[in-house]
Amino acid sequence: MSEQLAIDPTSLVFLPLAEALLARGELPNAFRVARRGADRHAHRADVHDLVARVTLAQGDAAAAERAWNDSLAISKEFGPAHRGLGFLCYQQQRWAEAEAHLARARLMTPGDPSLEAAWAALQAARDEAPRDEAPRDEAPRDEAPRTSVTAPIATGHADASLPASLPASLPASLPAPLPAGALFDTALGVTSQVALLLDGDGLVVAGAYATADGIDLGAVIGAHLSGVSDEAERAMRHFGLGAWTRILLESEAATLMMSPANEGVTLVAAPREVPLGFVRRTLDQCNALARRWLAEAS
Amino acid sequence: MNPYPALVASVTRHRGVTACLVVMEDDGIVVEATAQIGVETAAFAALTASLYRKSARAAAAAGFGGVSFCELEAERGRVLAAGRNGLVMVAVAEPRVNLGLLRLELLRAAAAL
Repeated sequence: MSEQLAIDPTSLVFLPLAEALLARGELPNAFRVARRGADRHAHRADVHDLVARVTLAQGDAAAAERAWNDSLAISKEFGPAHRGLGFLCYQQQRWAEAEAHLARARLMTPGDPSLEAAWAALQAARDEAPRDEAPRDEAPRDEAPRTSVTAPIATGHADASLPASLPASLPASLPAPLPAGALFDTALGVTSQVALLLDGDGLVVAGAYATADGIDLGAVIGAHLSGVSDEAERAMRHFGLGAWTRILLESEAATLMMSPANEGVTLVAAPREVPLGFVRRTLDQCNALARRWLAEAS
Repeated sequence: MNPYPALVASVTRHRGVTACLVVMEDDGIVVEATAQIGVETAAFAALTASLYRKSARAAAAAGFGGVSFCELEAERGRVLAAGRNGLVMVAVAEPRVNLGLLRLELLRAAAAL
């Protein structure tokens, strides 16, 4: 595709090329390709949507918002832009704007399970929030919607299509102070995945894993699963394959992935329906957040 | 007829696979193995069976149920394992291996254990 684009810079092949680069995590290259495409095809709403998703993946939420607004300036009814802005506003606890954009997106793609799930999560979050909505900068982080619940994993009610349509958001800088329990909220979004940061002894350092009825299972899960990473280290010493970088376990009820984070482990659990690649992507994002958080804390 | 050589062959034919073993889950004893020169099959068998066992116990204790597949990714390779009926099918592979394809092949082979 790169060669094709070099031969004909006006070609629309930059769209799948940037998508592929984005999927592979080559964000600077994805941004360069998408940006050049947007310069040449500024009249296309989908190009600005692409720029928005790339910039969001780079952690620049403001730029993503601008790009999606550029899409809407071209086409007021451009669904992906409403969807993206809906999720973005939701993550930033801008409930009213999130509601407006998600409502438009739902109108354009009725029955989309990811939008329906996001809509339900938004309504629940709004119910929990104070009646007079606080400005986002003043909104207490503790009141962020808690999406890390066991119920979807345990009961198999997770929406498999939900994660795949979420923007890959990972803010470059975290608002401080960030409660440890909410560390992974930005990476998890409204998905039914959960994440924990465990120390070398299997104790929960950050993240949360609570059942629908509020029982915290983080300590139990951390204690049992941290032993797996010890076993992996032992095996790696003999295998001569270098340090372990990731462990995947597929169990009856969930997909579990772990990655080393300093002296501890970042763990992500997801319902079996969630595609493995998406779980891996979430783990990478959570691990990046954990490492940054640990570095800031030390 | 011994079914294991054919199962192992179905895995080792994939590019990037350096070894494939059928191992007893309980004690790590090799039932069948094919490996490139230099791969210590006994060590891989014992340690992977141990890792698989530990993972299965941990997942069950944490309430996630039994484990059917596990993968250990490292800087210079991957170790994959899928188990059934007290046996574990283990593949050792280079980092460049097509993971999705190998996972499917291993699960398919493990279903016949």
